[in-house]
Amino acid sequence: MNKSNFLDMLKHRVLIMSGAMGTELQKKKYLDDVTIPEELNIKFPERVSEIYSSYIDAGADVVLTNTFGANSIILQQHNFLDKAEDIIKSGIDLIRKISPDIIVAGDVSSTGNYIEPLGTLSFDDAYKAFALQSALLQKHGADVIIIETMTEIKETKAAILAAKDNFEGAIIVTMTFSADGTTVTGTDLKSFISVVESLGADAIGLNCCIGSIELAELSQVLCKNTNLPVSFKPNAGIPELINHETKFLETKEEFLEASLKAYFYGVNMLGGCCGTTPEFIKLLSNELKYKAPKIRDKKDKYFLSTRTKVVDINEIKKPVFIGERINPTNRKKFQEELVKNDLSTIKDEARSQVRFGANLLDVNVGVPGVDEVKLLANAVNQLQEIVSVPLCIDSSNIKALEQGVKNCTGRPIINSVNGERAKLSAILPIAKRYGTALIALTTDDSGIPKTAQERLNVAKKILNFADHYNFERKNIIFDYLVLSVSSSPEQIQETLKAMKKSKKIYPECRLVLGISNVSFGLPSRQTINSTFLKMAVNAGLDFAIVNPYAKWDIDNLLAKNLLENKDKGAIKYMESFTSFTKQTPTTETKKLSSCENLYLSILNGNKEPIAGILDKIIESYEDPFKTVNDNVLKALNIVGKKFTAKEYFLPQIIMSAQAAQEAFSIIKTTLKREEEISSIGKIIMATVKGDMHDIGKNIVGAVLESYGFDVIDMGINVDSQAIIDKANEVNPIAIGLSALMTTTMPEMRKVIKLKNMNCIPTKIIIGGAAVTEKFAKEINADAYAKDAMEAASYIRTLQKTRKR
Amino acid sequence: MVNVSIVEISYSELLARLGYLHNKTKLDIRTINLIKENLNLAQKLIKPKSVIAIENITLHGNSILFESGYEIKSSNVAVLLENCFKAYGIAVTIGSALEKKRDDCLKKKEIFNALILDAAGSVAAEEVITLANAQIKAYEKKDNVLTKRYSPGYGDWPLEANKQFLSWIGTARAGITLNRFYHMKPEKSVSALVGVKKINS
Repeated sequence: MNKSNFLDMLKHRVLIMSGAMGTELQKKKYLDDVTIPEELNIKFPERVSEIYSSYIDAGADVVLTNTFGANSIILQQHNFLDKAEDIIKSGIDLIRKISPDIIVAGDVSSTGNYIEPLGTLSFDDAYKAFALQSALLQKHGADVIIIETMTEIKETKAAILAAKDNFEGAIIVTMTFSADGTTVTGTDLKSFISVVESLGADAIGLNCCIGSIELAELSQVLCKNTNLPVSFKPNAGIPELINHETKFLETKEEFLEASLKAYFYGVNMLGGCCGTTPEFIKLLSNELKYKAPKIRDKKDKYFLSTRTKVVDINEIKKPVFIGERINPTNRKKFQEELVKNDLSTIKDEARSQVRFGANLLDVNVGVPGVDEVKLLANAVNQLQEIVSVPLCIDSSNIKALEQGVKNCTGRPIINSVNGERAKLSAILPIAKRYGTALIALTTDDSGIPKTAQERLNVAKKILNFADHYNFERKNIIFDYLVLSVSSSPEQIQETLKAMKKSKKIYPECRLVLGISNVSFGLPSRQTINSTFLKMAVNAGLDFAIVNPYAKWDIDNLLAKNLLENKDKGAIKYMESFTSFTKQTPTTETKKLSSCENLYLSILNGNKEPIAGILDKIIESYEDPFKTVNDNVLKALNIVGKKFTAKEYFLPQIIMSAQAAQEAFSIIKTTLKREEEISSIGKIIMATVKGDMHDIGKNIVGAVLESYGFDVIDMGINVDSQAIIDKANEVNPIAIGLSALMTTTMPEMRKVIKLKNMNCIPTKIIIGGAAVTEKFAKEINADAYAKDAMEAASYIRTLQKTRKR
Repeated sequence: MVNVSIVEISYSELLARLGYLHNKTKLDIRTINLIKENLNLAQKLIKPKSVIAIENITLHGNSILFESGYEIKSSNVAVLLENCFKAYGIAVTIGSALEKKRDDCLKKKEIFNALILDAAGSVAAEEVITLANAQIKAYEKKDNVLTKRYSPGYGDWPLEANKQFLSWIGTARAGITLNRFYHMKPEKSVSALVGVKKINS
């Protein structure tokens, strides 16, 4: 069945889908002699056929293939990758053999890994895993693909893109939500809709995890916010694992009641997930098979989103503020940071713009000398984890734009394309593929058109291209360009005229302006900016790219006259505002020296500016190593005192330690004086045999490194003899042993015995959750440290002794 | 009876676990932001699950016999279960995604992030077991009371006993296993025994 037949069928009748596969196989103990459920397709196909038949007999119109985990990542993990084609082919053929006319839904689900930055899987690897599965489902004749039980939106995005690229039939996308309407990774229903709709999937839905009554309520939210067909596959209640059984406590009657509710809300496909059985599906089929779907009202939503937040542009007050501050143009310090991959200003600007009311954030990292493709993707990844507002990906580098939008967890805007043929041909396919909205500047190869009509002509050209690329016009956001009122006063009215006309002839398209250009070269710029913003909103402006920190409630008559070109030469405006001076904070920050900056950065645990500060110290100081060393140690000394006074707690110690480590690492690398610097001493750190705990040891290691020690981290579960061998080899100042468990503490005694037997003079210091001072004395350890600072303090004493 | 799928990691519990002292520790906005960002990340990475076993028990000195034949030999457990007629074995986990991320941070030497994620995971696991415990308490009839929770590795109930204990509970279904050193995997998992006795016993 091809896509249009399937979608046409959904307009006329609801479809009944099969019920649970996994729990049915488990119940019948069919999984006991296979590694993964999909192996059954080739090892015991009759078992799979039995389940398929039971659902077909129960009245299912659509049967899901037993290929839930048949993506290349899971198959590879279990050594079945070379059987991928056989598994998927058999998963489809077995259904066809039972009933050639049934709709075969190729089942696709998670790889079991989170994509960066939540996890370590790359987006491209996730895509590849789903691409192979989708291609095989296509090759062997699945009618539709159902991507289901997804819990992470970025992985869902990868799966949709892979399916779209490799499969011709309809694509149904369903995720798993908690009763509060969010996935475990924090995505809400509307954000989910925004991604699924914008990527061009054919149907959307909910499955698994919660009980059918709760899921029915969520289906209502879905039906109210999307025009796509909706699928509904609840569990038979929330599973409880009691006395070796997975119990689903919901009855088939309760399941039916919830399904009927969902049907009345407007759901188009109904089936069952974990815990449901053929009896559940039979009941569903008896009630709903062949029924016409409930007609839903047409929705007019305009969603932009991130993982955890959605903005409906149709609902939000205009203008929508796009914060413009993440842009290094004319900001030397910011540019220097970006060259060093330092994202501290980006993060700070993001947090504060959102605090000041930005609805969206423009992200531009274009600086000569940076790898913009990597930097923009990294910035997008990091920003999305610290702020939740949607992003506007801003670059003139096409590859960077593509990586940027690919890494968005929701639906972003691209900033921007213009009327140049080459740009349109390159950017429209990206915007289409990733489902973004697109800012289109009404300029082209001939430059900025002078008149409103000329700009509208460019807009028309852009729309023709958009039509050609099948890119919906409603996703175009036109920018009719603002020039400075000081140099081109007549142009302001042309801009506003073009906007008003655009709203009439292209009402589906939105409007945006970068507001601050208008005031370039004039005093009291914000007076003009704010006044102009009001005029632009009256002309139909939807989005304003602005500095959210500025005051946006100024409406000044002189500025208005200037903008309306009634104040020729800006004479009156200048009379009133020439003496205007930009307000500066009354308590201007004292300019700090590089040494003071270094000291404060270590004290405040601020690692990100260290590289810049070190550059200056290396450039200007006679003995940069001594300068760095002195200031770092001075700061760490205060950090230690603050920790003792309980003014600082462990996270602050670590932040300072990481900043100090950064300083030492840079100075070592730059001055190539590793030998000299590391000569302050080597320390062996190890978690003893039998103990797998890493973190405590690493914290102590980080603090020691921050004092300039050379830490040799032997890792976890380290054999006692290996520690002694290492000590013999490197002659450390001390050996630090960590153990978290009472059961592994005796290993510490063993290391001390071995050390004594080998006559190694090195001191041993021990620590860890269960370790006590008393225990340290009992086993003749040289010292016990209750925390990282105590360990550092003791080892520094040893270092001084050794020096003497 | 037990549903632990939604657990919110408490910011104040996280700070407390990290050693924050209300009237002494001075936190600046930047540090607060960084801690909260990691907390938000941790919240996205946890996937709480529980698995339980319930059986009637009889005590014979230091030996506790379960109906299925499972037996615990421990004087501490025997004291805990004195007068109990039934016991629950509870195991909970927050899944492995958080510790994978923490280990990735350690690998990249992002010790601060690793520290916060690790602590958030511990707080989450504690909250999950507390929630499961509370739900069992609510489920038990009002004339029954629960004992405190007790776990292998404490007193004379050795850590090695966790192998049989988890097998009795059936934790493999929730993805909880033991490594060769008897540490639970995922690491942020908790197993506990809780006795049930009549209120007037």
